[in-house]
Amino acid sequence: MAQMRTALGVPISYKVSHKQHNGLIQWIVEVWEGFITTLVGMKITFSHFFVKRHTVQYPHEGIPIAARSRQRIFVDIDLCGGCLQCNRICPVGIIDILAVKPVAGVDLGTRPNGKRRPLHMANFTIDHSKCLYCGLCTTVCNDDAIYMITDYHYTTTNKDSLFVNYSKYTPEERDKVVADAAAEKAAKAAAPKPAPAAPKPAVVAEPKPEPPKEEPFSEKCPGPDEGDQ
Amino acid sequence: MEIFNPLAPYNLPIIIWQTVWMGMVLGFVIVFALVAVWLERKISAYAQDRYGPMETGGWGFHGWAQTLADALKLLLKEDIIPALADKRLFKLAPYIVFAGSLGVLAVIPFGANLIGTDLNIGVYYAVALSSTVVIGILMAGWASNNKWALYGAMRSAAQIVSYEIPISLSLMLPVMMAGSLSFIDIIEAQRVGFPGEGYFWNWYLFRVPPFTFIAFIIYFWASLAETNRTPFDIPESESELVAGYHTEYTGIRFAMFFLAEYANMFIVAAIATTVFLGGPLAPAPWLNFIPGPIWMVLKAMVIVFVQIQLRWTLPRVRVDQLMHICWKVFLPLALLNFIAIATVAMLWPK
Repeated sequence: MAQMRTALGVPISYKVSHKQHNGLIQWIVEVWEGFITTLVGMKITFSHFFVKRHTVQYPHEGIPIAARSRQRIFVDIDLCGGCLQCNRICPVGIIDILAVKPVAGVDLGTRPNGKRRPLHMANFTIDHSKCLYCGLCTTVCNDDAIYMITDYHYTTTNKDSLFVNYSKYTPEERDKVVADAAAEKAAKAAAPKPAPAAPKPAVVAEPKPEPPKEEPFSEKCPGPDEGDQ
Repeated sequence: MEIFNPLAPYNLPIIIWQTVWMGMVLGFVIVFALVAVWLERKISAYAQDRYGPMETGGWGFHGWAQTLADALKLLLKEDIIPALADKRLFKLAPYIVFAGSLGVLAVIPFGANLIGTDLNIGVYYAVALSSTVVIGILMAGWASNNKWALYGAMRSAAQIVSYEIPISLSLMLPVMMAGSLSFIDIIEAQRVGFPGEGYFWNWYLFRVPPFTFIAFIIYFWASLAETNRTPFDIPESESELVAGYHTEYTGIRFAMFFLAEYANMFIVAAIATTVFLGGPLAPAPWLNFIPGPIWMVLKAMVIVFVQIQLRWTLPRVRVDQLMHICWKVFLPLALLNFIAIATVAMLWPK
């Protein structure tokens, strides 16, 4: 049998004798051993007062997690091209995008990866409280703009704080962009030819995205078939 | 001897003093219970390599307000009385249990003169009054109309009644040596002794080496049974009976039981301190500048600490083992001690 030790590594030398005695001698041995072994047990518990605690005081400290572990999703809005792939593939429909085509003559510059920035990312909200961490959005993203980060701290007193807008546009800027696009479209529809069943004007105050989305992708994508939310 | 007449006008200051004193003692016991519950949780956690409560009262202060919050919660909870309970007894029981505990504190000396009332039968009164707690416990168990509560109450009664005997026999040793049942006289008798006055070796724990020490050990262990604490906590063993005799109690009434339990812890520790460890006496004369009440509480807290640590060291004994320890181990040892100290006290009277 291995040598028993206390939590501090002090060896416990006491051995219970299993020898059987007669009558009173046995009684005395048992009483003595009952007393002494209690002290041995208390020595063990006492030694545990001085060793390292095993609890991690979570909100104040944490266990370091792997550098590439995949926790909550995050959007680097500078990289986003507004292709809506994540929106389409999300199984729970929590990604809500309002990407508006700039008016003619406005160049939005390039993204950090060197590509042209095609659209105003007027609105990009993710309802993290509904996310199921499938990671599909990160796999379909062309520009690695949406990815999973190591942050896993979700605790909040208000569920609305999990509804995050990653867009850098203020509400006023967003409204302006949307209104400009709608005005340009209306002008275009009025001028050259009578638009057949003019597509719904993109005047949306709410981040209910769809109408302007039809425009930029009409050439590339088959059509707006996403029912989000 | 003059009979104390509570209605006589010249006794009014005594009555007022005793009322004020018992109010102070009640406050002390409540504070002690809050501290002891916190200590219990902390010690249990530290014995198991955990932290215990850490948040309540602010991060970094080791959850000092945890029991305060728990007590507030208990006070605000609904007071549920089972439909088939014997309502009058059910309501009465916690107060009887708590009154039994608080009554003993009247004769616990906190200082050489700091005592509710210096009864000349103080030890007898303490032992007798703490036995009446059994009535309250039986009442609670029976009135709850719950099998777990009844089992717990029956076990508790059997246990407390059995362990009264080794407790009383052990307490008789200092009484015989001091020649008095008064706690104050027992303390004063521990001041003087063989080599010098006011040293710790005059305490009864060290006075007649093997016997008084064994008596102290027996008293300590039997007091664990008296207070229903591990390893003798079979009356409220969580794994067998839900909570024992207070299974059906909620809110303030449960808090009364809880308070009585922790008050009992302090009482048995205080009695052990008084009769074996010199009570409010300092261990050496040059430590006399620290007042007696501090020594008293300090010594009692050390014993409470050992009680708590023991709880998280030992498993619970079976009922037959409990009775075996009482009747076949403690009782013969206590009787032997009794005979030995009676001989000593007879040969060398104080």
